[in-house]
Formats: sequence, C-alpha cells, structure tokens
Amino acid sequence: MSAAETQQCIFCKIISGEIPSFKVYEDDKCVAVLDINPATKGHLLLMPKQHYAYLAEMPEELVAHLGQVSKWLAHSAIKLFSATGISIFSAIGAVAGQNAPHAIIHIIPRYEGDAADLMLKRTKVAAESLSKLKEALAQSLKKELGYTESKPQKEEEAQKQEKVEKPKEETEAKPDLDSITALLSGGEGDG
Amino acid sequence: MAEGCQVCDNISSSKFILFEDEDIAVYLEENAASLAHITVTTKKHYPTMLAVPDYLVAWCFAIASKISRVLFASLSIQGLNWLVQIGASAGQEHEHFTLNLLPRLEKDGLELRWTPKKAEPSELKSIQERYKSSTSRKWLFESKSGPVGSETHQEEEVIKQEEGKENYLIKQLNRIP
Repeated sequence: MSAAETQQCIFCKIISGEIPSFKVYEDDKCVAVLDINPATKGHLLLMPKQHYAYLAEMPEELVAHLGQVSKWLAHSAIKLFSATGISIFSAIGAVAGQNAPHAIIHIIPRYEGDAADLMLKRTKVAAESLSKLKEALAQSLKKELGYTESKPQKEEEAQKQEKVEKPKEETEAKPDLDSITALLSGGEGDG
Repeated sequence: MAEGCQVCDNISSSKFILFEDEDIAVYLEENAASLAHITVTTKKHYPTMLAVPDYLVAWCFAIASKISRVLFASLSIQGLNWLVQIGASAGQEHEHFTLNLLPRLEKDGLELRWTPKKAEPSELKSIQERYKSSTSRKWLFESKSGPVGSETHQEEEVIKQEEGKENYLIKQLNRIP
C-alpha cells in the first residue's frame, strides 16, 4: 500500500477527517460512516483505518475484527430503525461492483419493499463440475489452511497414505480451469 | 443440528465440503448463485448472524478471508462478493447463518446492486446521533454484564428482550412459498 495510494484515497481522507463524514463508530482498527448516498436508511460503510484496496489483501485478524463490528452495527441498526433485516455486503474487484479504492463492508438495513436488490437466484450445478472445482481448490486449500479432506486416521494408515499421495501431487496435471468455467456457465436448471 | 434445516443437512452430508473444524464448515453450493458459490457457516444451528457468538463470527470472517485468497489464486476469478443475509427482507433463505462467497466473472449475469439515493444532511445527522448513542456502548454486545440491579445489567436485560424480537425476522421466512 503505497503512500501515494493512501494520499489519493478519498476514504483514507474520510478516515483521517480531512473530508467530513458522518462517523458512527471508531476504534483503533476501523471506522464506520454513514453512506451519504444510501441504499436504505442507516446504510453504513465499515472500513479498516489502514489502507487496503481489497478486502482479500487484508490480514485475516483484521477481517475477523470487521466481522465482529459488522455484527454489532447490524444489531444497532435493527434496534434503532426497526429494520426487518440486514444485508452485509462487500465487493472485491470492479467486476463484483467495487467502486471505491478502499476495502469496504456495507451494512445495509433492510425494510419491506426497499429498493435494494441483493437477492440470490440459484441454479443447480452438475456434481461433476463441483468435483472438478473441489479438486482445483484442494491444493491451495491445503497450503492456505493446512486442510485436507481426510478424516483423522490411525497414524500408520495416515503415513502410508501420505507416501502414496505425495508423488501424485507432484505429477498430476493442473485441472483445466477454462473448461471448469465453461461447465458451470452451461449448468443445469433455469438460467 | 436442526431437523429440516437445509444448511444443517449440507454440513452433515455434502460431498463438497472444502474445510471444516469443530465449529464451522465451508462447502461448495450445489444450488449456486455464481461460479463456485461457497458457503461459510457454523456447525451449530444459529438462525442469523446476530445470534452467533462474536468469536465465531470472527472465525468465519477469518476463514472466508483465506478462502477468498484461494479463489483468486486457483480459479482466476475476476471479482468476488461477500454476502450475509439477515432476515427475510434481506433474502435470507434458511434459518441458519451463512456467509456467501460469490466469485465473479465479467458478464456472469449475477446482479447484486442497489439504487443510491442522495440523503439530506439533516437526516444523516439525526441517524448519526442515534447510531452513536448505541455504538458508544458497544460493550453491550459483549457477554459481560454488570452487577444485578446496575445500569449495565439492566441494559443487557433490555438487549436480551430485544433479541427475542429477532424471532420475527425468522417468522417472515415462513412466508416464503
């Protein structure tokens, strides 16, 4: 996060107070302000004080803290404005709808008949496609989370299996991600 | 585990679990809203995020953060949305807290948007004051209460009674045909 990025970021200026805002919450890690062009009454923008362009590049401890604060703010919104629900939403990347140069979590109070459209329309996905996706993610999951699917086994069986699996991991070709994407785009069910 | 809960069923029987520990499960959705739609959820049946203990909310968000990096690294996605739906009016489909990770590709047909409306500064000021009166006592949301009869303990009782009202958010789910 360069100094230049921070200097140019309008949200960093809001956080520092250089640009006025309607701040509702602040601690040592994050700030929440009212959106001045809200989706609904009480719409909040929760953001880290340190400049991160994307939620995905933030340390997970900070993301965890934002999650907790989101819950507190959601609770406040329901209590204060009699909201019938809350949408907690974040966009990473322009394709996902990110307009701001700073990582933001939106806390949007919901009311019956409001204009926000954050509904999910679901389509059934073929099991084969999901299996391929799971396979594509497995190596990275193991690296990032230290997680493998196997249930805990007796130690000797686990060691035997590991010896068998290691060579497979080294020589197995990477899955064709373009074909996985194509499979999902043409999935079963209503489009 | 709650009988008739689709999310509880997925946790116990999905073939597409990506991660689990004693508290949470992460799985690929078989009925997906986007490419590689992933659900992060608690194994214990909490009706909404508001009922989930803070430490579990934190853990879910931390794991979602790691999964997000995995998605960008492994699938070459172009974007990602996070969505938690609390209450029927927000589109909550099941009475079980879920955090949706929705990978995005250009022109994928998924529309998650709203129409912004310019708010009057006077209204914003009023809303700000109401929030500040609440968030300045964020300790109310921590599971500590003062001595019985104290202002802090009374406030927590009010919160508990208010939380009972959360059930109406769930009752509305029954209206979904």
